[in-house]
Amino acid sequence: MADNFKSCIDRVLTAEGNYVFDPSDPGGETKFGICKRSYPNLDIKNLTRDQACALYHRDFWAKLNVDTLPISIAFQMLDFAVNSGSSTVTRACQRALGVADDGHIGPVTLNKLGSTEHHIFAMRLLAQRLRFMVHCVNWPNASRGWSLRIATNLEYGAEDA
Amino acid sequence: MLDKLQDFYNLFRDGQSVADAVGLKNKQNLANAITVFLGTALAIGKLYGFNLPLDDSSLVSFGGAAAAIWGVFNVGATVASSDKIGLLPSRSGKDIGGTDFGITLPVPTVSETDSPTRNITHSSTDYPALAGLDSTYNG
Repeated sequence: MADNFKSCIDRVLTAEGNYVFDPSDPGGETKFGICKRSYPNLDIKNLTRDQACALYHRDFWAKLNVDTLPISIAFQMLDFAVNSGSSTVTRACQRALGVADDGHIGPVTLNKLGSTEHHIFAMRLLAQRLRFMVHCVNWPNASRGWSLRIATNLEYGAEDA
Repeated sequence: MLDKLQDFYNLFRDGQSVADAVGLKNKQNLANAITVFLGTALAIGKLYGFNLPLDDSSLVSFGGAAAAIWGVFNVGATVASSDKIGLLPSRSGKDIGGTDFGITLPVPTVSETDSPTRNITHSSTDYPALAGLDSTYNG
């Protein structure tokens, strides 16, 4: 499963662009999806791809503990986390599985995940993600890009199934 | 008549009590027992065919009226015969509160640094690409 991260992060970085500073984006300066609000002491403009990958591994991939999961699930969780934060993903996963969304991945959540078909879980997670997005304050400005990203992720989901 | 009503009203004020609280309480208990006895007797009598000349609607009306009258007296008797306990604040405005012996528990203060998920500083030894960077994640 070690190659899963590389496959997933390649997909994520395909969606995330180079340096942008959009005043309407609450994240502020952003490069490779790494934003100033999340990393206030980082020189975003001069961030390299390797550094971005290291940050994604350390702060998202490792925290989500998705290394042992199949890519069909791991990618959707990572991409969601990059967009909306790890805690949001955790709760969305629990809602997609129909268990209590307490934000704590414990035996109940893992058992349910183990007994759910991966592609069905991926689709339900994408549905949760879309519902979350439309309630974001930045939806009016970012809806087009976010919708296209969900469309691409549906295709990845079909590919991984 | 008005004096009697005023006396009855005063029974509900704090600090007031009847002269013979024990006697009134005994009468109240006796009345409660009689009510229960009559109700039980009526039910048993009906089982054995001794029907009172009351149809169901009359019985309900009678019972309702009796219950309403008895209920008012019962509440009054309960309150008035409980020494020094009233429903309304004292007319004189005197402080009826005693000393508050409630325990004051210390409430811990939570600082920003106590939060485990904010401002985490990581070691970059596992991530050579991040060496020399202040990559504190404020997620």
